[in-house]
Parts: sequence; C-alpha cells; structure tokens
Amino acid sequence: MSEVIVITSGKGGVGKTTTTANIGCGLAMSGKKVALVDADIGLRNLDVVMGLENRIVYDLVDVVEGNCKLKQALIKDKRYSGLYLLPAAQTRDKDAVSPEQMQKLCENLKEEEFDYIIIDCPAGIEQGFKNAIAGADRALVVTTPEVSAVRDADRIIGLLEANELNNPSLILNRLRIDMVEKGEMMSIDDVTEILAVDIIGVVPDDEAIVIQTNKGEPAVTVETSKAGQAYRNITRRILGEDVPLMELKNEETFIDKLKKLFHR
Amino acid sequence: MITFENDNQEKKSLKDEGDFEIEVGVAESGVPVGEIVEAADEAAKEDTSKKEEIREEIENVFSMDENVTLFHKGNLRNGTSLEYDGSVVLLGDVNPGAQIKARGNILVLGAIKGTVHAGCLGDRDAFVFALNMKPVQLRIGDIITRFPEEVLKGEIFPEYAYIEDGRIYVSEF
Repeated sequence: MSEVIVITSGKGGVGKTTTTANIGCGLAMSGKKVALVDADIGLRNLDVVMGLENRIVYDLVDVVEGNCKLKQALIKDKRYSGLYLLPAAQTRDKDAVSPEQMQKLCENLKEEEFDYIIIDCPAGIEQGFKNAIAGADRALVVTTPEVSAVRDADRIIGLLEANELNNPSLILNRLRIDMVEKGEMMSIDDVTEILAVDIIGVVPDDEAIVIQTNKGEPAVTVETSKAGQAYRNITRRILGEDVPLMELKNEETFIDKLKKLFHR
Repeated sequence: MITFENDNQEKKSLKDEGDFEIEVGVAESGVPVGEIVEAADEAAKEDTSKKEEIREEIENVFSMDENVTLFHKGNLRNGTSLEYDGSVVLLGDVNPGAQIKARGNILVLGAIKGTVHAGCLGDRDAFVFALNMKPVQLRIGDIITRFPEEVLKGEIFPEYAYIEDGRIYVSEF
C-alpha cells in the first residue's frame, strides 16, 4: 500500500526541497521504493538538489498533457535503485496543471507500486499549493523557529485541515540550540504550543546541509552530520518506528568550560 | 512561427523585443534558381542520374529550413525558452534552466549553460556552436547527451557539437 506525502510550509526558504530530498533518500536507504514529485512548476529545484538536472528529458507537465508515458518521465536516482524523481517543467507555470490532474497522477504513481510518493510543494497558498495537496494522503509541515515561518505554518495547517488533510506532522528545521538556551530563539515547546500538532522531527542548523545541497547529494547520506542524523530519525518515524527526539545539546569541551570560568 | 515564452505564458513576437530576422530563402536571396539549375544541367549533360542528383542538391540548399535564421540579442534566463522553425544565432548566454529549440543549427556567441536542441524535428545534420560550451544537456536530432563533470568545470574555448555514427561529438573550433 503506497502513501502520498506532501511536504509544505507556506513560507519560502524554510527547507521544503531539502527535506523532500533527504526524506526521499532516507526512505530509499531503508530499501523502500520512493517517487519524489516536484510540484514547483516554473521554479524547479529538486532536480538540482538531487544532482539529476542533466538527466531530464520529460517532466510532470509532459506526463499530464500526455506527451509521454509516466515511466519515461521518471528519472532513476544515480545512488539508490529504489529512488525516482518526477521533475517539474521549468518553462511553464503553475496553471499548466489542475488539482484533478495531479490527483490522477498520484493514482497512476500508486499503480507503479511505489511505497512512498513524496510531493515537494511550492511556497505560497495559491494554485501550486492546491495542486500539490490534491492527491496527498498525509502532510508534513516544515517550519523554522521564526515568528513569520510559524505564522505561515499555522495558516497552512488550517488550509490542510480544510482540505481534509488532518493531523499534519511538523518538522522544525534549522534550530540552533545555543540560541535557544540564551533565549534568543523560539524553542521546540514554543513552536508546538502555538501550532498544536505532532512533531515528527527537529533538524539542527548544520553547515553540512549547505555543502551537500551544493554538491547535489542529500545530507542524510553523511554519517557524521547532525542534520543527517535528524533526517534519518524522521525517516524511521515515517516508517512507524518509535524514535525519541535526539539530544541536540552540544557536549561542553574543555575550552568551553575554561571560557565559562573566566567569564564569571 | 517565432514564439518566445516567458513565465506568464504570453507569446510575444520577437520582433517587438528588438530582434530581427534574416531570411535567405529562394524568394529573398535574389539568386535566380532556374539559372543555377540550368548550369548544373550543362555540367551533367551526359549523366542523367548525376543531373538529378545535382538538381536535388541545389534544391535542398535553397529549401533547407536552416537557411531561415533568427538573430536574438540578450541572455536567456532560467525558465525562458526560445523556439524557432529554423536556425538560431544568440548573442548572449543560455543560463541553466533556459532552453533553445531550433529546427536547424544553433550558434551561441556566449555561454551555453542550459539545454539546447538543434535539429529538433530529427535532423541529425544540425550542429551546435558556442564560445563556451557547458550545457546541462545537449540534444541534436533524436540524440541526447550530457557532459562529464570535469568538462563542465574545465577550460573555456569555442567548440562545436555534431553527430557522427549516431553519437554526439564535441570538437574544438
């Protein structure tokens, strides 16, 4: 039985595409058959983040318009055999597809026996958002610990519920525990108190994300990366395992202790 | 025939954008086609099959679509597509995410960093030329190729791409 998961946020730049790529890779690492769908028509990025840009021949709009078969447009990932990408069209815009067509597309993808179909939603609440959520069974909402992002996430959760996508899960991205400790950043509790939804993962701010994104290889593959670990945990939670939220607090080094001593 | 798609899906004539078009067709070229065919006839008087061949060749030269060329000045940015029923000469760059699709040849006096498709109706004789050839993907006729990473990061010099034995080759110009 396949599940269609939409990854959305409302606000732009909070890490929807990065999250999609990492969760997709993580699920494929666990041996699942996964299709990633880029619904951001006209501003596609998922192919670049996955490092598959140069393999695109057909795209989502070609499939919807019947210019090619679904199988022809699905790009096989270069690292994991069970991972596929359906890229968005770049020279078109969001009006090129309708929610009904997206629904049909999701049905067709389900028939291809994918375990998970993950849709990368564009920012905003207009046509692109409506398309992305049309065929979804479940939603993951990404937010950062900033007032504006949380405000937009709240709006999105409301819209999801209005479209019968109840109980979305929350991913809190780019958290900096040192700032939280100083009281300069919203904490996990602050965010969950406002949004009142289940949290499925907390991803710390990590340089590895930027490095890996520019390389076209998701951070989830990097053993040593904290963000990578966080994404591996999220993957396991999606698969139904009970994994506790990881300890984000940095171990105090000897030098840190010394600094504290002198700052007193 | 000339379309220029921007984000809003508006189709504009390129002429409005300050571009111009040069047509070197039978009518505009000023070359009296009949005379040339006659001259060819004389040259191949003895051999009727050869005569036919030459006639065909000359007719091909004057009816080929790549003789109709679009000149476009300016960079093609991400998301824009330049499609033309003939050859294209671009004075500018093709950025990643932009594409040129031409029935004939493509000459870019700048960098190709996006996707280009020459001979897009299946003409394998079409070629692509660029001062800096670093495309995401290059297509000629029905053949698609992508460039190795080290080539894309390598030196800049004028190159042209063509098909030989069903494969795309790229050579220094």
